[in-house]
Amino acid sequence: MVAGGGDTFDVVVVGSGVVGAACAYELALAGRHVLVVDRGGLAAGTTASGEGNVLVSDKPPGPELDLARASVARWADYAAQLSEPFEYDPKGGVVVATDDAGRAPLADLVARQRDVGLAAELVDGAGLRTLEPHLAADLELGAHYPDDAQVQPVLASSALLADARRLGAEVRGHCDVLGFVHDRDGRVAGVRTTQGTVGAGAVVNAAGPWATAVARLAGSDLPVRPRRGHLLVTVPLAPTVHHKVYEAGYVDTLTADTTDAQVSAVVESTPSGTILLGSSRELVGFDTTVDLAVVRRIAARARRLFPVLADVDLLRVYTGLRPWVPDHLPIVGEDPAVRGLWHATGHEGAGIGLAPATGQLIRAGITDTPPPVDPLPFRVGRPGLRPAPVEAAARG
Amino acid sequence: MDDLRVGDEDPRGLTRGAPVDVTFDGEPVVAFEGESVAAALLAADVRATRTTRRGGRPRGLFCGIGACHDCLVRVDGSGPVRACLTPVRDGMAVTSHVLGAGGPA
Amino acid sequence: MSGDRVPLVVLGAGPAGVAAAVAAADAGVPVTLVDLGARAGGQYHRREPAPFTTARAGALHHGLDRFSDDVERLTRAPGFRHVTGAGVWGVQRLADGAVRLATDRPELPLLEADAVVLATGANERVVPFPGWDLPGVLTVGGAQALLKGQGMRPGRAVVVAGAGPLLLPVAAALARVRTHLVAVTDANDPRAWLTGSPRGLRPATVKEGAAHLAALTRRGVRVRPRTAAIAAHGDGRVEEVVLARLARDWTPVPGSERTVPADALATSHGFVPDVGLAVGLGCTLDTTEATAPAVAVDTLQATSVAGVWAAGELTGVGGARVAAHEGTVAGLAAARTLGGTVDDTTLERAVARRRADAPFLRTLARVLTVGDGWTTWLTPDTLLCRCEEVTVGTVDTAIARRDADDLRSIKLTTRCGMGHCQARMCAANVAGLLTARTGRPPADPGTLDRRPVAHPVRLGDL
Repeated sequence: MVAGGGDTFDVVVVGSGVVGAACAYELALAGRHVLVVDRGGLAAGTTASGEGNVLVSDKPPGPELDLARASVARWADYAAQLSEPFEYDPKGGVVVATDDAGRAPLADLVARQRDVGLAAELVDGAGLRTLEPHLAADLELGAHYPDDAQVQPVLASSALLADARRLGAEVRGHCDVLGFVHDRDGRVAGVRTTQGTVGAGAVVNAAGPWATAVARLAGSDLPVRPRRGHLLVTVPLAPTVHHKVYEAGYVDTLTADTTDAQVSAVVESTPSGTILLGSSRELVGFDTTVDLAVVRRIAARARRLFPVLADVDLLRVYTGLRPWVPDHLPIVGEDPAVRGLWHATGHEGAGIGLAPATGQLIRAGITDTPPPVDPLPFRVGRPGLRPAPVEAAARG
Repeated sequence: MDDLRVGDEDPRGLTRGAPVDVTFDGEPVVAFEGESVAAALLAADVRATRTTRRGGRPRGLFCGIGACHDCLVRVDGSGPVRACLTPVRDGMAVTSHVLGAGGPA
Repeated sequence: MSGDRVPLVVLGAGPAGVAAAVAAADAGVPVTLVDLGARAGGQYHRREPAPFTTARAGALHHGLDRFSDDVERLTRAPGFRHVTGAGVWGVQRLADGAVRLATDRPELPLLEADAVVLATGANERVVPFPGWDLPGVLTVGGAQALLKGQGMRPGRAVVVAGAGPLLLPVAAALARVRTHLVAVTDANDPRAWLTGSPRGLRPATVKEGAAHLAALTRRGVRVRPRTAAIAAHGDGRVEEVVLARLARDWTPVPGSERTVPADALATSHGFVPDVGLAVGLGCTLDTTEATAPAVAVDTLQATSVAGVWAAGELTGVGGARVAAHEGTVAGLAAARTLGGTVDDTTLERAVARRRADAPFLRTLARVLTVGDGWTTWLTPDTLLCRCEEVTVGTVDTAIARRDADDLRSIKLTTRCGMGHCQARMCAANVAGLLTARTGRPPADPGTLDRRPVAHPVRLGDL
């Protein structure tokens, strides 16, 4: 169907990444007639360049940890319910202090997480090497988080979309949103797309780093900016790394807002036998160039954790853009400036992990049913969302 | 069984390097200096130089110029190398490489 | 860490790269020629390794003597450096417009250049068929590399089958060294060469073709037109090849199948430009042919990125002679930008010579086609991606059940194109299969040609 009154949905979700897919699936479960549009291929943006982290370990007690714990539970539901598999692996995480300065903060974080009931265990050098036999011999303190998990992000998104379709949803790839249709009160009533105009009772902006541009099309604004990351992939090899393993400094790079590349080691294997090596975080706009110098730094950090990697071949490198926000909390909720426009973005590097509970929050908001966690910390108009410089938010 | 090496029929008048001793999975293989591991194995009638990690399918020389990576083997316990690009050396021990079952484990 | 900085890097030492290097060196620009090979030549002028000696090196090669003279002249040029055995695994355009290359040579991890001429050539395209991954099946170019580079036959009973410009010369070279050729078949009809405008035929090409046919005839081998190898069978290695006659669009003619015994099958169906490094530098691709994206260049061989020129097969397949013409233009144009001495007449003459290749290239485009019918001889078990062992059936399922309708979604949902070869072997076939299944070319041609790591490299060598 093309433009006209017939092409109408209860909800249009903009973005087919994991967040948009989870929103679509949750809304379809609630009986809503959903359309998902994506200007590119399905899950081809931020989701396609992520490791597939479903993490509780990297979050101190607070609203994001609450969202993460709700999500971890929901991912397990998805693994049991969805028709298509997506390499769900609840393998647990291991955090390693790579220098003396990292030991006290790690012990402190574990203590605070245990206070709120999170499964977290400090381990000594011998314990580390029982969990991960190939870790460098001089590493002496770490923490084990059995609740950390991993999914293959694109498979997870396509599995959510596939089941959303079975529940009546429609998905249109290579369909770009050009503008919004508003009713007399200014409320969102639809979107204009490259494939025609579509009526909608509500629109969910799940466009990740591009969410600011989508918000502006509706006459609103968001402080979401792109933050580039590099990811290295090795050739497949025999099981060598058994958990998601990262250095304790990783948590600091999450919140260091410099333009210089922040690099810390994140190492994990995938069911296909490859090992993923991260990570970097750089505020460089929509530039997705591979920086060979950053690649070499990531390789060096990864070899610091696992010296055996020196003899392993690097097969691929890719960069992705994560949706950064000033206060490092996802933005989930209705836009107070444009009613009927809902945002589900700003998850930075945690979008895969936080997608299910984000979808549940959007579902609860739109269907006016009880939310999985308190939605207030994630609301759109909160004070922590200072406006970002205009040039960085230009659409890439 | 050396009928794959071209002899006097080569219009270039080709002369090979000196003979060297190489092994493949422990079996002796006759080779000549300058030959690639892939060529030496082919001449010794070794067609499958590894099996694939998922289906256990036999693989050997395919593109011959280093692009396809089908001919990966291990040399003297090294990581995987492309047999078509790797010259033989006297005393070299070549082993069939199983992707995914090799590597640090 | 920033490595050496040089004025001009020519990447690839085949006919295009060497022509570019010679032109730039003649203009007084110091040239750094970087190549994976131990000696210049690329695939076309592939030479035997150093420990081998030949009495008549040019006897199996067309135009080798002249090429060798060029290489010889190059080595005497001031500031010339030939970096051999160097795999360039990464490229990056720096903020000041320079190009950074990462190599797998530990003594040269990074190299920076003010300008670069890309001459990375092409890869053979092999259209899949059941059993194409059996040992003993190899590419026509692989058979050529064995023969030219190693003095080795691919087998004792050899089938040469496929399409494309390499088929006839390699079959003829195998015949010249008295290889037992069970069958030589061309999926197209070679007589199509003679049906177009005579302007599109170079006398030299006709002469070479006739010489190849004569060599085959002398050995009692007839080239069967419109015939293809549509399956290979064997226990752990090729033992039998199934040949079938084809309709014009390559659909096998029912009942025409014939099984022949063979221990080697040399097959390929044309070439696909190797554009990976160009894509890494941000060069625009010409994706008119979704199965063979090429680097877009202007009449001076300049890409869309300032400071980056491209010459030879990666800008569109045209053979060694056209590649050399393009290399000369690119070398002159780059040298002029770098302040070398290039007079207008020299440059105009080089551009005109390349322009004169146009009728021949039109003939190539008309004659060297891949018929859509190949998708009809696939079975669900046929591998599409050799590295990750992704079958046609798996890709069909992704199309049907996950709405995968472009190259990126096929790759990410099936792992097709994610393995060691970085989709060099499968990209064109995935695009072709997707076109056949969905009725239109993929919306994202060139996606599988993105390979930020051009070939695997040891993490310890980074």
